[in-house]
Amino acid sequence: MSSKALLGIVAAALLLVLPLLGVDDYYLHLLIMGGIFFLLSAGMNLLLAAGQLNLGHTAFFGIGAYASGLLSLRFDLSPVFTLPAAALVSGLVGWLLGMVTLRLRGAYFVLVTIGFAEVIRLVATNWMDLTQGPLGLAGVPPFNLGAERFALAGKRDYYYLMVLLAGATLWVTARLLRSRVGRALRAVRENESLAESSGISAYHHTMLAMVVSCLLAGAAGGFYAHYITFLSPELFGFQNTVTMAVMVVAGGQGTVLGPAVGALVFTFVPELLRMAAFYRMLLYGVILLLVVMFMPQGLVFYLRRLLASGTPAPGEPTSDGAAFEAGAAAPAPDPALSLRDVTVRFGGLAAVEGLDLDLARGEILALIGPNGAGKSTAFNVVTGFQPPDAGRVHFVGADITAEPPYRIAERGLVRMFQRTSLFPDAAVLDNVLTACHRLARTGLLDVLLMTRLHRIEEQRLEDRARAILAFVGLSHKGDELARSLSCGEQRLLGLAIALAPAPSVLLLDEPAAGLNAVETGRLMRLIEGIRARGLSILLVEHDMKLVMGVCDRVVVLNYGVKIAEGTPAEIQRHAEVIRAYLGSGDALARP
Amino acid sequence: MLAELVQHVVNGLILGGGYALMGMGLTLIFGIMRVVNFAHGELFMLGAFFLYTLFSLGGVNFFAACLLAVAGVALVGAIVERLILRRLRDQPIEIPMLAMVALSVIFQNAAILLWDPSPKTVRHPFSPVPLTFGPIHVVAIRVFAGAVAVALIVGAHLFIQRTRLGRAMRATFQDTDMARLTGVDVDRIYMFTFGFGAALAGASGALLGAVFWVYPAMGDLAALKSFAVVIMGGLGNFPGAIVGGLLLGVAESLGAGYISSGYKDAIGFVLIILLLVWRPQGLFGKKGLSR
Amino acid sequence: MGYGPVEVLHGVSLRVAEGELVCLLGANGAGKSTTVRTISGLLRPTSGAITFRGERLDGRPAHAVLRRGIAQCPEGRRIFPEMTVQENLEMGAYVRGHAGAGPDDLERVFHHFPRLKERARQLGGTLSGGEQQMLAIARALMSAPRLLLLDEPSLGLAPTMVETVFRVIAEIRRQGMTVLMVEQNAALALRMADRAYVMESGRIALEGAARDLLDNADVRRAYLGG
Repeated sequence: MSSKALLGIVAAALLLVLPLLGVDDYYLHLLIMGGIFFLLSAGMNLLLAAGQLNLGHTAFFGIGAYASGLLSLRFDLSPVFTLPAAALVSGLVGWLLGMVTLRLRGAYFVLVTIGFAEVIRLVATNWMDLTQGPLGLAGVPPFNLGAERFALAGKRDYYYLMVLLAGATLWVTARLLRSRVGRALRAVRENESLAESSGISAYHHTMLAMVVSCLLAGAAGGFYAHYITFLSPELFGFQNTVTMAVMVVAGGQGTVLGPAVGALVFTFVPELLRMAAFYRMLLYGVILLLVVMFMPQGLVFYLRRLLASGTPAPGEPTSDGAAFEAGAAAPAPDPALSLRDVTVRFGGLAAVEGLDLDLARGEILALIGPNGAGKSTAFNVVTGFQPPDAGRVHFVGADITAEPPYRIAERGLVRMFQRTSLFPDAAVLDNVLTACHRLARTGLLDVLLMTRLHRIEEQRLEDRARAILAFVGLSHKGDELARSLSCGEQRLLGLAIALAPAPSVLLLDEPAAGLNAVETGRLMRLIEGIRARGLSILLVEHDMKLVMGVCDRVVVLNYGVKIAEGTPAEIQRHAEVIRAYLGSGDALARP
Repeated sequence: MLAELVQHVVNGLILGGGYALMGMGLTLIFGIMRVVNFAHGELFMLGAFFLYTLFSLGGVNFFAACLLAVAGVALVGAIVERLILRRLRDQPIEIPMLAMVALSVIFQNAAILLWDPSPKTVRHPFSPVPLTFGPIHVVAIRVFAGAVAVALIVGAHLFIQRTRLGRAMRATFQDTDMARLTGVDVDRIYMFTFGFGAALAGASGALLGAVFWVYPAMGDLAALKSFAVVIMGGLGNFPGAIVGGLLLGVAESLGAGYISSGYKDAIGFVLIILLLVWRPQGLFGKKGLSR
Repeated sequence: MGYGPVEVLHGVSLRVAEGELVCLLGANGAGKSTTVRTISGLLRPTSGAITFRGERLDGRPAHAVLRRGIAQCPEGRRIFPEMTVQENLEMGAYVRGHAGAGPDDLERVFHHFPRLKERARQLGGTLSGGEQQMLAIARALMSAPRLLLLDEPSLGLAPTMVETVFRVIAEIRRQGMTVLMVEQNAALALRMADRAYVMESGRIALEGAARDLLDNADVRRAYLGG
């Protein structure tokens, strides 16, 4: 049993036994409040993992509190029903807000969430009939297990309920963050277009994080209502959000334990500095500023580094890694990929004009042409990043024109981007593993419950990732951060990421750019090896050695129009092609 | 009936002028530096408090105190940029955001400690007797605030459009690398931009503080409103912020007059949420503007 | 390119004498733009020296390099889209301080580029590709440079526009400007240049007098691999 697991068990045991050790009610109260903030911070942390900062999170806390309070007060329902109901209400509101706002990114999202919380606060303050306004809602019934006689009494009962809720939260967030869901969230945050290209829908995953975080906030609110039994619009105040933000960032954003550490530290420390109550918020501000400036990764990250016992033991591969499923050879319809009359105009200029192109099954086709000829635009059209102004794109017979990138990737058409595109802060193995997302078949429930089916699948995906790394020759770098690889190695990783979702057609965008002769040679052999596994390949390239050496056919574009098509040898001798590349040169006389 | 409407609109425009100033500073800071300044409300608040301290406590001439207050906030802004933001420039976008949140907490709580939390009035030298323009009655201080706001808005706009430094700022906004290639010292522009934006917020604070009250939490609502203004106008859109600010001021004034005073602060946000559903890029913003 | 430190240029050495027009050729990704961006100060070299008129420039920031007299016309023109033609030109003179662009400087530039004078009040973003290229060159000239760096002036331009642009470059050169030009259109560039370097994978593969390289099979191979 690993030392981490042992530590976890000891901590859990300690938590369970604490009230029996005669610990003072006051400290139990602190722990309970810490638990509430843990639920809130854990939710904020989850959404932040996807790259969205929700500075209106306290609104969902308050919504849950008022929902549970009002339902139990007005309708005499037992809190055992109203608490989950409150969580659901918050989750629903979160879902609705997400529909409106999650298409926004970065700053817009933050601003709207702040505004949202403020609106909710104003509603709570002014809608006297519903909420009693600033007077607050008093007399919320204490928590009971179905009937009044099963009511919780005393700090100890509430403590155990909180331990239950906190434990569930820890489990859920750990399961999400440590599975392919977590990988997908981090991928969306680090490199959204690459994530989409690997079959990960940014919108759906961010929405999942949003809803879960709101469910947690709602549950925290419901608990709060029946614990404190008095609610006021203060719950919606920005102060709460600041506290949560401090806990998340100082604890360690993106980690599972970060919010827990942050919540405990920032519940206890201010209380211990009770004489500083007057200065508490000021102190929070200073601490947050210092942490952000000097320790942005938070406590857990630095603690881990401190306690790290050298290099972590690499996972044991269970297969010899030599074989991996390539994409199923494209089913009968041939050509694998076809463009008809594709046209894209920017302003008045045609980047691509009336392009017809066919990629046969098992073929390696190169698209070449001088800079600005429209090659990248053509790629963008095929992969869904650029809707064409005219024309259609068919993939194994199906019309995929203007479908979103993640859908096209799901079908088996995957692109490797021009210049390096990776998830820079993830390990090399994780990069490939993340890109295997589309191949996962088990559902969310399996992830949460960590069923055997899920564990088998995770292992299978990991084996696949290792096999792919072996194929491109990066096995020995599996645990290193992607950003630390050399240019050539990063390119190989990019290729591995493109192979991960088991595509049947692979689009390579200038794969040899910046590689030296040796690396280019290796790339050529890899491309041939990929074709041998049944894939069809369309590549854009400037490196003629590679094009001539590896491709079956070549299509030449100039000023957005196809000017030649044929075997490499034919193209090399083609007069118009030579003119396009080297220029006509007869426009000027020498001075 | 009409007179009442016009009265509301006039009040709204004066208020809107203050909002416009706030929004202009915020949008400038975001547009050029890509920083969401969550401490903007506190810069507003500092403007008010500097005025109060200089004038009401220190006895400095009212108009001089206004000028000094704005200069003081500008200086604070420049220092913040130099010491904090410059260090965080290469970090992901949440980090500078959170740093500004932290700063806003620090400023607000420091203000509570330095002055106390009770609202104060600035006993400005203008007569409290309303001036009459036809059917409209406006108190002199409001006329002053409105006039100064207009002057500042026009002045800022002209500065950005006509001066060499303003051109450098616009160039940095449109294409930072190219601006470097034309000899712009981008570091200095950032510091100046933040100071300039802070000055606009401080001016708004001094003016609105003189018209209404001065208290440490006054920045909260002001910040939220200025965010609303900036979103309406489009992040980085300078004229958009001006129009957005005026619109918000008038909308709030009309809302308070005809609907309910309690909810008037919510008007801005409801408008924004509706606007963003309809047009994610704001009233004037360009498509595809995100992180 | 890539993330983290990666060596992109490997020991690139080149010389430009005063009054020369030297061009830097090579396929995409060969390192031409990187070389130019290093000279202009946007990138910092890990090792090596850049000397201009006797002074070391490597590692200096872009605005300092510009002040010493090297102006760059970057790839893709990079016009300030929301500024007028005149404002773009004024930005070109920014580095000259408050003295800036006197009316004669502006007149001189308009003389070279009459098209721009017509469009002085038009927004840069509304100009055609060729006009933008003229504007970019004119803007670079406004700083009264000693060396003009042109990065792919023919990029994305229709053939007739390319003619016009290159005619302008020839004229500037005739008036004594020293030019280092990066171009993909090798034939055209070689007709104008005194000397040329051909880059491949981050290093210089060929160099020589432009005339000699014009029909050189090696050049063709570098581009077309055969």
